[in-house]
Amino acid sequence: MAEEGNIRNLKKMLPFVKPYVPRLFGGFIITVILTVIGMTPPLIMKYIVDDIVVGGNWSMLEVLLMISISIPILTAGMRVANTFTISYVSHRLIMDLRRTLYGRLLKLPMRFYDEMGTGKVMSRLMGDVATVRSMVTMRVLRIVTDFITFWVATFMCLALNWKMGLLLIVLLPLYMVNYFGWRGPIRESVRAWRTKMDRVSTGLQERLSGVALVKAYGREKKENRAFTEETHESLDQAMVTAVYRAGYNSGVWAVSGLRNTVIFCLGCYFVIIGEMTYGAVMAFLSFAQRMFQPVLNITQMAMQLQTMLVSVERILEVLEFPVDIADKDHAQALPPVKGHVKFEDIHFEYKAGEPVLKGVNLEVQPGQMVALVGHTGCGKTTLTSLLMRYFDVNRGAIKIDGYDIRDVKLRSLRTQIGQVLQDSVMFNISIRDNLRYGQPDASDAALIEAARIAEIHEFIMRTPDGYDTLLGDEGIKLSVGEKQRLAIARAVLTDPAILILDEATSSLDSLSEALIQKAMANVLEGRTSFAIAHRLSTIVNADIIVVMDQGEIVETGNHQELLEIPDGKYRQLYEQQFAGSVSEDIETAD
Amino acid sequence: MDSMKRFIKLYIRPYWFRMVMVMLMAGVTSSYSFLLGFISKLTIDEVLQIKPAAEVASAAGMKSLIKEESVRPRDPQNVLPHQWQDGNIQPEKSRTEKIQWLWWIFILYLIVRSLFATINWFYNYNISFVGQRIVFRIRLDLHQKIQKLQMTFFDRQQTGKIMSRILDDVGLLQSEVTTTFVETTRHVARIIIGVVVLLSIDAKLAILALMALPLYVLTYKGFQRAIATTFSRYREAYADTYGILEERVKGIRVVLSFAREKREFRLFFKRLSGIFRLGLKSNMLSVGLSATCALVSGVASALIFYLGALQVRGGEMTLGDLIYFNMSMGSLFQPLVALTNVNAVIQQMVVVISRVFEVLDEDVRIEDKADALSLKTVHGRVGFQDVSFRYNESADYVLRDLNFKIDPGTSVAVVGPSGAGKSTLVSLLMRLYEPTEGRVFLDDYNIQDVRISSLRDHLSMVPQEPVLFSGTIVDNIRYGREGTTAEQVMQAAKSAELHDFIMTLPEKYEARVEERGSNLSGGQKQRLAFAMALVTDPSILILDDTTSALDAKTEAKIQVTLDRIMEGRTTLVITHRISTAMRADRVLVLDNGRMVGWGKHDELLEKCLVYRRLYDQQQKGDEDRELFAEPVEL
Ligand SMILES: Nc1ncnc2c1ncn2[C@@H]1O[C@H](COP(=O)(O)OP(=O)(O)OP(=O)(O)O)[C@@H](O)[C@H]1O
Ligand SMILES: Nc1ncnc2c1ncn2[C@@H]1O[C@H](COP(=O)(O)OP(=O)(O)OP(=O)(O)O)[C@@H](O)[C@H]1O
Ligand SMILES: [Mg+2]
Ligand SMILES: [Mg+2]
Repeated sequence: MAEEGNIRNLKKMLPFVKPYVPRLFGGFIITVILTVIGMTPPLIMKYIVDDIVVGGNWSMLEVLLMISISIPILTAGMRVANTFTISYVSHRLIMDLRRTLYGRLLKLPMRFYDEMGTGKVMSRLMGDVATVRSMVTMRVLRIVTDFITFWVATFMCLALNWKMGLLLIVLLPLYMVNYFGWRGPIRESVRAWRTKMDRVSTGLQERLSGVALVKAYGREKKENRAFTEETHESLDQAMVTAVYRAGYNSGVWAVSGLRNTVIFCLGCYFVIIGEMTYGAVMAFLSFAQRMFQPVLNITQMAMQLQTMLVSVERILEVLEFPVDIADKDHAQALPPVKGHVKFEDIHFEYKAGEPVLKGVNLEVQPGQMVALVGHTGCGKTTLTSLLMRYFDVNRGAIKIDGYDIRDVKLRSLRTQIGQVLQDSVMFNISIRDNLRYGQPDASDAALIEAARIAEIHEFIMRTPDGYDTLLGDEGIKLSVGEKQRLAIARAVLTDPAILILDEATSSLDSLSEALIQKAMANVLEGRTSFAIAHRLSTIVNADIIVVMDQGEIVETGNHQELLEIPDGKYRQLYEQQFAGSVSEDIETAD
Repeated sequence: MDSMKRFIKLYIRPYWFRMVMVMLMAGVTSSYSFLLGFISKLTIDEVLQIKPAAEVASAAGMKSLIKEESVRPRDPQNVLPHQWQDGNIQPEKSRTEKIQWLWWIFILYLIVRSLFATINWFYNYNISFVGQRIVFRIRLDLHQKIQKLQMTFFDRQQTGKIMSRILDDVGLLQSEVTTTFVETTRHVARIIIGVVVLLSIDAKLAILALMALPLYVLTYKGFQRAIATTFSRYREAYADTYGILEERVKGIRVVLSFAREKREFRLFFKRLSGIFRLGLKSNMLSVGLSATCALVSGVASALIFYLGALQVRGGEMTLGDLIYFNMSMGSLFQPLVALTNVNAVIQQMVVVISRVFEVLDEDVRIEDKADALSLKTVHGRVGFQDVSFRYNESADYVLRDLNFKIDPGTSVAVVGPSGAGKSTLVSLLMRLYEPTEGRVFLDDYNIQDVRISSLRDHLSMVPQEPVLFSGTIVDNIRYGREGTTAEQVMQAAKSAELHDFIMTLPEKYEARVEERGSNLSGGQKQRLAFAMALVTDPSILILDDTTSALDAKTEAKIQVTLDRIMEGRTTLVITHRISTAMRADRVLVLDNGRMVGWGKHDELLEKCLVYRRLYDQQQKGDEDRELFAEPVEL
């Protein structure tokens, strides 16, 4: 059954609670004491009514006064202590869970992010964790209290009047009926509601990050309508849940109302026929309340448990997503890289049945510059992603200095490869921190040097706070070319043994591009590098030009060699670009 | 508190009828416990007729508290008629009479209970109804507002923060808002009824009991401020963390490429600890408040009960009254404790509500004027008159004194070094930002006089960094214009040279595009964004460096399409490639925010230094290639 699976999921949360067991145990003891103290007031009341007032034993009144005053004083301190324990543990738990989740997130393969999307990841890390917290801690102690309270109260009821006690026990199952009747519908509707809320938040997330586009197309109205619709759906679902919940609550009311009425009147009857004192009736009523409350709590808890189980499930989706890209058990650190890179018969597909790379073979000697060219979508970026080991190859192997990259520590691999991504992403921190992202202890001199190479130093100096200027959300305050140049500086600063430049200068004007290229020539000296570019002028000097087409390498060689191949792909590409500007020249010459 | 008032006016008022109903129900239900107390009193005094005994100097009185048998039930018949309030002695009822009376009590009890169970159902339902709807409205308003806000707002705020505001904060309201309001009424009603009941039972005792009230006020005052500030700091820290986390999740490739996991992890941990401390503190303050209140009420009720018992002993009060008084006192103190809790919640709510209003009150600086025009057709004349622009007051001007006119149907290439202000220029035309000085014209209208939606209907822009949504390919292409036919979509995809690629996918046009197009290559994303703009068939087309990620062959093909599209249509093309610029009717050269060149390609070669240098550089590149291309060398 699905539900059993769910419950089993709960067990997987136990390791998170474990470190706090001693603390919880302390809390548990206080709770027990509090529970026991909580049982005395009905007895005191009974004594006062029966023995003092009706029995005339007035001398005891002051004693009882002292007792009743000391109870709140005693419990106040304990309650504070108890809350401290619970709050401490629950907030710690949330922290641990989020920490673990985040740690896990950082280990998960790119595939996970492609599949899940930011909105969903966020709601798991923030919302679901909060749900789990409230359950795990508050309820753990609650169960203990409830357990004790229930048995003591049952015993007391039977002791006060066994006939009425038995009657109570007979009434108890009514709660169960009410609970089991509503459980199914409530669970279903909560689940549906959550899914809908998920949709709302994912949609919102995207609309916010694409806000410029929304505006550019004048889509505000439509977006509002879509949002209204989505929220409305979740609203309707929430109302369905509310109806069920209200139904359940009324059921509880009805059952406890029935119980109190019957007990009270029956008790009074016993008083009349002299089988019971009135004080005992009052005590009995209090205990009956205390006996039913735990049952109620437990059923209510079972309801919340459903909500929580859903959250747990979603958290586990993250925690249990297979980390197929991880260090092997005995992985060694990759020794300082010389730069020999070998792709051996690489096969790769993102989705089964749709091969993206089909048997790529390539050997690069240390210090060589490799240019990857080819039509858009032919797999250039993918090839570099494999080298960074964002994905593992389906077949074949990638070797750096003879080490299969799957056998070395990920960190040692990635820190030695610098990469400028096709989309430059900057974080909302200062320029300095962005540049130092890969090399946090870089000196200012090195920082400026890298910025100069990327032709961005002057720009930075023009910003209000220079290197300490904060970048906006996702670097929105920069022009695209500026971001690209920052990204280049960021990669250069890490002083990597292998450098990957994925269209690193595609958004730059030709002047800046030429300047950067000149500066980069020094940097690339003696390093293995991979450059992806569509403007062939930027890669003519490469040692090896690799022409790819539909996931295969079709030509390799240097510029001249490739041009000599008649009808070669490279030649075609080259002529295309060349022809472009030549024909222009002719036109303008007219 | 101001925001609270506004909140009530804006969001609660529309539901005033239901709210009033719910509050009435709350008021009625608040009398519940007092009614039960009264029934108990009736039963004790009138039905069971239990009377206090005179002093019995019995040392053996307290044999055992628990053992029932030890306390011999007293036969009521044997109790001596009491000596209290002479002349007011009630006749003893017989046993059968009592049982008869008991039946009445039973029925009364049942009626009260079932009545209240019914009210309770309506109450619960309506509370959720109003609560959910209020939250719904707030979310919509926030969303609408955010859609309206100018881009400058988004430059300042992290979208993650906005998200957290809309969803989490308002979610908090959802669970609290109505309950808090209504429960407050219920508590207040209960206190009022309680005071009246207590006074009616025994004025002296009641006044004593009420003396505990100032203590509550004091306690509450002591805690209130600390609770409010801690909570708001907690939410702040939470929202910050949310924003940071979101940024990292989005930029995960950067995190991974620099192997920054360890550091990121530590950083996140530090933030989490901050949240942990604030959360704990906030909880402790709340419990401090409620525990103190519970202490006050516990001690007070014990004392009062003692005094009451003394009165019973003196015969000034019946046992029923004492029990009734005690129960009512409990029902009075309980809402007091609850009210202090409510107040903590209200404090939190005020924080949340003021945040909501913070967003809602954000100045919408780019808004339709009251008499804004709707343009049916647009010829495509564009004019910039003395336009200067800076992103905010403290920053430098990004554009300075721009003056130019574009005739309908002509194409203009915008060139210039990176950061010169090219993208900014077109976003002014799109009215994503408002010029700081000067005016922008479309046909002969100042674009500030035109309805924004109508303006943007006629303009289409392909942004420099493609923005895509998760959904299918066809969803994305259709985004620009709803209701386009499959034929039009395909036409746009063909023009953008994307059709062939789409056809290689198993699901063709229905293939999924993941968030931000993460499963497409750079060039594919760019072309998809291009198709999105083409499908709208705009009067003015703006292309912001849309071929930067394309290979020469694809670019050449697109260029052919573009030539066709640009025919008779005003087009602005931002480009870094002179070869593209040459094809345009006019070239606009920007450098450092100033227009340094405006004219035809060959004119500019002569009179514009910046353009000349850009051109030379690319020629040089070509020459380099020619050098290599010349096999003659061998
Ligand atoms: N994360 C992904 N999931 C699924 N498919 C992907 C993913 N990334 C890329 N692809 C697909 O794999 C193919 C190769 O993509 P890749 O990004 O390597 O191309 P590219 O050569 O870098 O192209 P461009 O020059 O346009 O950047 C494309 O068809 C693309 O749609
Ligand atoms: N939202 C913003 N807030 C503040 N400053 C900005 C913002 N957007 C851009 N800028 C700044 O304005 C200047 C011009 O930016 P713009 O994006 O117009 O340049 P561009 O000419 O398009 O450059 P590129 O060719 O690199 O895309 C840049 O220096 C940039 O840092
Ligand atoms: Mg690519
Ligand atoms: Mg730009």
